[in-house]
Amino acid sequence: MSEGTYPFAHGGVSVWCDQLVRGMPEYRWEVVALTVDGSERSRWESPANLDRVVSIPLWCAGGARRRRTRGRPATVFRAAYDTFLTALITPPDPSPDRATVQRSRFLLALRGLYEFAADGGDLAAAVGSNAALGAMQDRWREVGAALGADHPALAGRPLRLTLADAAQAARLIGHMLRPLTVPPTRADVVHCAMNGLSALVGMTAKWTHDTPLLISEHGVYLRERYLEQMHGDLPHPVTVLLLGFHRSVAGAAYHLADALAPHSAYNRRWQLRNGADPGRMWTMYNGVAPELFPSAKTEPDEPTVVFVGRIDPLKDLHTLIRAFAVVRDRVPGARLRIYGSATDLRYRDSCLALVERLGLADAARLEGNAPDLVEAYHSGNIVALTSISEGFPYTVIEAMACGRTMVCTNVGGVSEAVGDAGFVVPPRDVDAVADACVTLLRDPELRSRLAAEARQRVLDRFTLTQSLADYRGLYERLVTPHLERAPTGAARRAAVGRVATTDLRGLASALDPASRTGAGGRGGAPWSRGLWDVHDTSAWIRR
Amino acid sequence: MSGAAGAGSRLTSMAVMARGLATDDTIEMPITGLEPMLVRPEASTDPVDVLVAEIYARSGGRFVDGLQVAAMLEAQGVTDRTARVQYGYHDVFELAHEVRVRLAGLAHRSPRRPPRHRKRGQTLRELCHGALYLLPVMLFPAVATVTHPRPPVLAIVAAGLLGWVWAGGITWLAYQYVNAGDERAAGRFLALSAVTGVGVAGLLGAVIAVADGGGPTVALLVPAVAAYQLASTLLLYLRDEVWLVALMSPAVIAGVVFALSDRRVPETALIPAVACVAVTFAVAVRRALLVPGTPAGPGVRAVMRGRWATFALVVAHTALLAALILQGQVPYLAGRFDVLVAALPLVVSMGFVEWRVRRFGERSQGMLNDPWGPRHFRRRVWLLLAANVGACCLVAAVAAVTLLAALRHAGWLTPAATAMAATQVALAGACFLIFVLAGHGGYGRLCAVLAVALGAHLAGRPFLATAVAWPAPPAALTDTLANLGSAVLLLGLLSVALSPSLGHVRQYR
Repeated sequence: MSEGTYPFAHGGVSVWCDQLVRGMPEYRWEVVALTVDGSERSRWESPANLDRVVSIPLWCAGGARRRRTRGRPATVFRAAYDTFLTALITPPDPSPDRATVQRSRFLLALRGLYEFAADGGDLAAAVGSNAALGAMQDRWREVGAALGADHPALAGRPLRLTLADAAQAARLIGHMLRPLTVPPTRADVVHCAMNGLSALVGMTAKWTHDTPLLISEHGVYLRERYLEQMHGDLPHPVTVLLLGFHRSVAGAAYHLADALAPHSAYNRRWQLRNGADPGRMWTMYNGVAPELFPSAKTEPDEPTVVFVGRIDPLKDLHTLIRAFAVVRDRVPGARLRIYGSATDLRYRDSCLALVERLGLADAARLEGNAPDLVEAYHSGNIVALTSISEGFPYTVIEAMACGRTMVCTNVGGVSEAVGDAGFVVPPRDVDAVADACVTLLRDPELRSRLAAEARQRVLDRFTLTQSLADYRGLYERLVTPHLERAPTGAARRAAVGRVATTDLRGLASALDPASRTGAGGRGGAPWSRGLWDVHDTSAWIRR
Repeated sequence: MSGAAGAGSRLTSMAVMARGLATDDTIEMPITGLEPMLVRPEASTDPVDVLVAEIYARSGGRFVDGLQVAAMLEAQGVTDRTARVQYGYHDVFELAHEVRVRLAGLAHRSPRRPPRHRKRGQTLRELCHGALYLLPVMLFPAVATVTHPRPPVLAIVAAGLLGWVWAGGITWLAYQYVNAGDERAAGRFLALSAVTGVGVAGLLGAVIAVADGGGPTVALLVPAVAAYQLASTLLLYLRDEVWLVALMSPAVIAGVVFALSDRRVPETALIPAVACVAVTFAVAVRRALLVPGTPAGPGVRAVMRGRWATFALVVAHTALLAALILQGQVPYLAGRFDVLVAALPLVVSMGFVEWRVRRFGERSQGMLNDPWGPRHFRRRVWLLLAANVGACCLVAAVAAVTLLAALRHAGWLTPAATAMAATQVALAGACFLIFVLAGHGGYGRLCAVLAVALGAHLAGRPFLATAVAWPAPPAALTDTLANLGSAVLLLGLLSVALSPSLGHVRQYR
């Protein structure tokens, strides 16, 4: 399950999906992708073990498939939708217990909406109906009255919700609920590449076929939605409803999932904050194949800073360009090479304009897509990443594998990837980025030492083999919760439901970097033992 | 500074963070200006107060919940370590919760509303559409003179029908490009389609000239009429009405001079008319080709997203509407000037109808911002609709009464002309409802209603001629009364067809 990524887009999540599918040829795969309108074309060569790609267009007119059966009574919809609305409008409860109740109720409401759609109800029409809009206005007013005028959560909220705002919110939510209206996926395991709308597909599979649900998170879906709306142009009440929806869906998915696989310890914080059960979480780092990213033997003639990634506001290239202006003053002849395609043409233009304005046109270049990533990393003395939001970026571990020292901002799992083998500075801090770059460019010995450490760190912790083994182990555990018994074909088919947490304590401690303290690499006894348990088991199962 | 720990220590400087906030323009807060704070917090030594003041100054304090504050703080470089060391909270989430609570105590700035632009120019443009639709009528006397004694009825009907349907179809398709964000492709599509349409009209004219007679005049008439219709469609789409007026003025003047003069040489009107139409068409195509924009690249199939059935309904309802209006007028092309002229009130009032349709959409959308529920909205929107239908009928009625008075003054007033004028009054209201229903996407309902009205007219004619106890009613009166009946029926049917969608809030985005 993915949203807006594999196989219709490039980027870290797509790379990871492709790695999983190709890296586990013993499994058959089906990719379910949430798309804009279904007209997207695949940008990846389809692996032989990928049986099919199912596209669920969210934003085109008409909506997803509908079954032609008799519709459920409107009362069924109204009951579920009232609970659904209450969850959206009610602010998150600071009490963990009450928050769990909120999530459970929301989950039940989602299931009610799914069943309404499964029985032939037109969910989008029902959500956009006058009755539903009236209910939204009523709930808004009632929740406001119940909380009281001085409640902090109501700050900035109008007392009454206008029909315009209600209609806009309902339209957006109606589109985003479309995954509930398609036939549930049939699989042994549903693995969501992210939380959010993708998780709705996993939920329907779980409700219908009891399929185990695994959710990975590269970035934190909810956090990115919050940031997105910081500069959105929606009216405030619509933003409240929209983000309430995302928050509720994320919390419900954490509540329902059999296993969560955050891609960094940083992500865990957000997941835990939103109700995830630590007993069902295993931090899974991304990995690269070191042989595909060989260490550089030489350095460019001119001191060069390289960026590789999307030209996107989240990458905050403005900070990098401004920092480079400082670097250029202090390291004569320095160059900046920015590789990557633009996801936002206006942002690319703003970068070009900034380069011009700072008089860097002869030193800083937007090179476009890198035809060869290794060459791109090798073309710089150091690699910089100044993002304001990241998960566990491939560009960092790829550059490190290539023997290049990183200057990164401290967002997401970046500091976990870089460790002490590079410079991690605050996001948006032009001077800090510039200081780090200048230090590295002026000190070849330091650069060389950190580069070697970086390469070794990747070999020790972030290889593709390790990453695939971790996932393989988790998949097998999800479909066979009691591995001490020999799984048979029948048992395998019946092996669905929640993973017995007690069975996975060993695996959790083995895979969680927090438990690797002191191990310092693969030689650590607990870690090695846990992984080998999993590897042996999965090999045995396949036999 | 190496490593995460070094990064954390740097974050203890509030100045660094403030500079980050000040210099960055990557993620701008909803209010990024340097407006003075509405409530300036008292000077405080509490770093959280300083942080709150900073956030308030930039964002207006509008956050959905504490998690959004946490996301914002993290994007500004605040980590759990910062929250502990600098602010004394366990982590960013707890700090964010406190910030959120303190922000709640401050007055919230509402985001600035964009200034309302007066649309006087647009209103004037729309109101003049009626006059623009009237322009070709000025050339009718010259055409009638050339083709006398056998008016080219078939050619006029074919040209009118083709131009109307073609224009309706390509405009709808062009708006699909616009909806997909590619105005440039929309312009190019319109230009290409208009040229193709004139080519098809040329072929049709040749076929009619051979099959029905009429010679070169007919062969030229069909593409010329289609070219004018398509040129006006393009220029109206581009909001270049002024070009249409300027370029067609010589032809209109020549037509009026011909109609008023004693020495009637039709070539003096028709040659300028053909020249003007050709130039207008060329200018319209060129301007459509020059529509700026970044090519988005999707082909028509991608833009349509499988909505070919909807497109078929769009074409069908345009054809039915054209047929309904034309078949009421065609029988009088051959000599009933009084009845033919009585059809003009609808043409004249079309600009007003289009204006009211736009205003109806704007007013109904505006009503959504009032603090009422869906029931109240439904009641008000029906009232608004009724008022607008009434206004459209009233304007057409004023035009009709004026025209009938002129006919009476000239001694040409007949019962058939009166019935025809009354029909146009009803049709003006019906056209308003048709546009509203089309705006709701009710093309299927439109087709059904128009087909019924058309059938009622065709069936009503013989019924009136035989069943009504008149002493041998004139054929023209029977026909125009049937037409009037079908127009009134159309009004009623459209109201019924609108009822499933009119009060639905989701129709008014």
